[in-house]
Amino acid sequence: MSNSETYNIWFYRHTIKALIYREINQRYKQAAFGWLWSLIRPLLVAIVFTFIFGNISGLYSSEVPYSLIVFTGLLPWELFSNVLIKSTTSIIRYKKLVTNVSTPKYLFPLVASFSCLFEFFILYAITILIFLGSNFPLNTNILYYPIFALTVLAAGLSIGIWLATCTIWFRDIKFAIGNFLQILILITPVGYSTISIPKEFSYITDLNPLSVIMDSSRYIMLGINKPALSSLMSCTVFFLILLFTGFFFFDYKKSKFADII
Amino acid sequence: MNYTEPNQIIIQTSDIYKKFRKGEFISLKSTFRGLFEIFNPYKYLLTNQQNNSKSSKEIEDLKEDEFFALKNINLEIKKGERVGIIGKNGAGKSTLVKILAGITKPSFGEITTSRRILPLISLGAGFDEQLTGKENIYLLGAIYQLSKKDIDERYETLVDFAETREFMNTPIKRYSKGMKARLAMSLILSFNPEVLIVDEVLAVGDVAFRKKCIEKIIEMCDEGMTLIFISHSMGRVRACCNRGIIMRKGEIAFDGEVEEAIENYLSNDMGIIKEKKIATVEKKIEILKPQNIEIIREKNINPGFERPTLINLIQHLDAGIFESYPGNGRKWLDISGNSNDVFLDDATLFINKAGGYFEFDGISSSIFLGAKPYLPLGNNPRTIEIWALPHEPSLSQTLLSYGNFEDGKKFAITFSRDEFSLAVGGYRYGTKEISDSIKYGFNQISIVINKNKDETNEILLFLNGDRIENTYKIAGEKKISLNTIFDPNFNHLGISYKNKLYKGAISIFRIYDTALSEKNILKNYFANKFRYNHL
Repeated sequence: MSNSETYNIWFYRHTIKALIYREINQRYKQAAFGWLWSLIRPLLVAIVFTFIFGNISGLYSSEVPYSLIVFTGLLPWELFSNVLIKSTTSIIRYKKLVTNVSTPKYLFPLVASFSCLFEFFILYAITILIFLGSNFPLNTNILYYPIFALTVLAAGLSIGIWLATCTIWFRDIKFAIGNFLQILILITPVGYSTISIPKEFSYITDLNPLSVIMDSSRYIMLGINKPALSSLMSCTVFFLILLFTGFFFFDYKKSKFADII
Repeated sequence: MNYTEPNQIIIQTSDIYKKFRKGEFISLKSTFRGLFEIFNPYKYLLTNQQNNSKSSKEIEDLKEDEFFALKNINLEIKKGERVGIIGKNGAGKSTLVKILAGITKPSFGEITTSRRILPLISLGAGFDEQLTGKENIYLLGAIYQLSKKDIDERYETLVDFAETREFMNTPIKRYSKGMKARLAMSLILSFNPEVLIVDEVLAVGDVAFRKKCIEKIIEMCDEGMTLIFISHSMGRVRACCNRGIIMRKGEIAFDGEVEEAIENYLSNDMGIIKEKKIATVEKKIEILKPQNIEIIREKNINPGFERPTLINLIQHLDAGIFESYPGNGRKWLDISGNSNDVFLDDATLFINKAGGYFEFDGISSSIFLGAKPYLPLGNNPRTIEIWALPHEPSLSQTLLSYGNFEDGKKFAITFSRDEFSLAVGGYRYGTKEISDSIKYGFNQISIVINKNKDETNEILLFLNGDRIENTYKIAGEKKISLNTIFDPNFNHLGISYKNKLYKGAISIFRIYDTALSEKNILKNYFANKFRYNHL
């Protein structure tokens, strides 16, 4: 069935708005602390990282306060991992809509990932507060940070869209993704910066496209860890290819969703 | 394109096939096969180039665990048509409408639609349990691409329609099923879509709301909406549709007038005996109606018995002569063997105080009540059988209707002061051996009271003379499930309504018997349309 409106996002603006509202509302409704829960996990991770990397491992040595290193890493990481998880599970979470309403299916991963910006902005505000609390000079680039966040979102979605499609056939992915992220957070320079990694282990971060994101985040906010142009380009190309192929794959498989899910 | 032209085709399908796999990917082998199918670039390129049209060879090429839910569907739906799709469970109705609505795609074949179609397949599919009724209205509206302003305009009327105004700020999770359904239904019906698909969602909600919805749908149809309607209720299909499609095993078996479709479906798919056929039972009474009946005057009736209805019955059916028989000895007429000369003009029978009926040459005829029937006169049948009801009716009982089921079992419906009684099986007299009583019951009966009125009536059910605990409140038609099927103790079923019977109060009395025949075919044992004066 050809429908000219299917790919017109503007036509579905009300749907998108309502679904994003629902996504966010659903997460925190009937919780007494509401959205404050979205802070608990990043703060806990920050405390653990401060303890491990800041005090014990001796990985850290810089003039920048460690709390800022952690938060500038956590900010893109939280967004990336949230988007990845939410978009991966989006289709199966919206099972009822997928099987009963003719809403275009690509809206669901899109809505799921954009709703993660809610948590992002809370953490973003906290990071700015920490900046103000420390004596580190606040960079005006921080105002452009949300634009950078959109590219992080796209990076998360590029993997999420692939996994969202595959999750319909294999629910295993739903379980695997959490474990995968737990390991990924350690081998990605979230709690430490790339410059503090010993030379012999640098290949781990070099192969990890996420380290470019972490570097960029710190470069924007702190002015350190400027990523090399080549790695920036390759990272962008990598995620762009994933994103486009992911959407093509999703689009190709979408007609089967309602049958298989 | 002229949008107002009535004969414009708005949905057209050509050779649609839909293939489903029976199993899931459970084993490792099938998982690998699934993986291969997902990441098969060859298939991707192929389907993109050929645009889903496949040769017939490929269509026939089914894997072992696959089957076609839809086969060779060619359908044209014109603007303004009201199409009712009927068929058994699993016939492919819902799959077809899901394809028409664009929720899923056919495996092969093409579909062209020129309108946006609003599918109403599962009520409240977009509802969020945590949100309030009002928030959900806006959410569901938005899922159907309505802006906040659009919903604001309809909000008041749709809340009135759903009759849930006082609960609009309550989370949906505290709603009853019916309330949720009403809310969703009223939102959908406020959309004014060009094509509406209703997939058996009207079953929820009470009679009044259902009626309101049907009226609204019909009103929308009159304004030019195209309707695709799936229902197992023939009444609703009849009310809403003018074109009927029967689906059988994934194929369109019939496409035409809705009345024809319903008749075809009921007789071929459901095995339901039409009312017409039952009418022959009533006709038999006329054929065998004895001539020259002498009605015994009241003086002959034992004054100890009050039987005001008996005379009515005799007058009504012109069928039998009853004579008082004061004794209470147990006799029965032996007519076996020498059939030609048993024709007694005034035989008397006393059969176990029960009512029953005669059979002449295998055809049911005259009926008798209580103890003392006369054989009817006027014809000379070769064989006479006398069937007595398996239970003892009260003295003032009136036999209203009787007959044979398809399988030869007898039934009789009687009415006493305040109770209908249905008896099945019975003792067989008239041959030398008395066969064992055949006792069996029903699992479902359908009662229609005051069909034209919405008022709720209370009825009581009695099983073998004991009242069944529940009191049923009935407005219109109600099916009541009874676990009397093959109950060796089933004897008779009584239905009491208002302790009085009003004219036309109970208009149709149907019994569904689903398990009696092994094929599990639903039979509609239409007993009678009786309209009786109040007693």
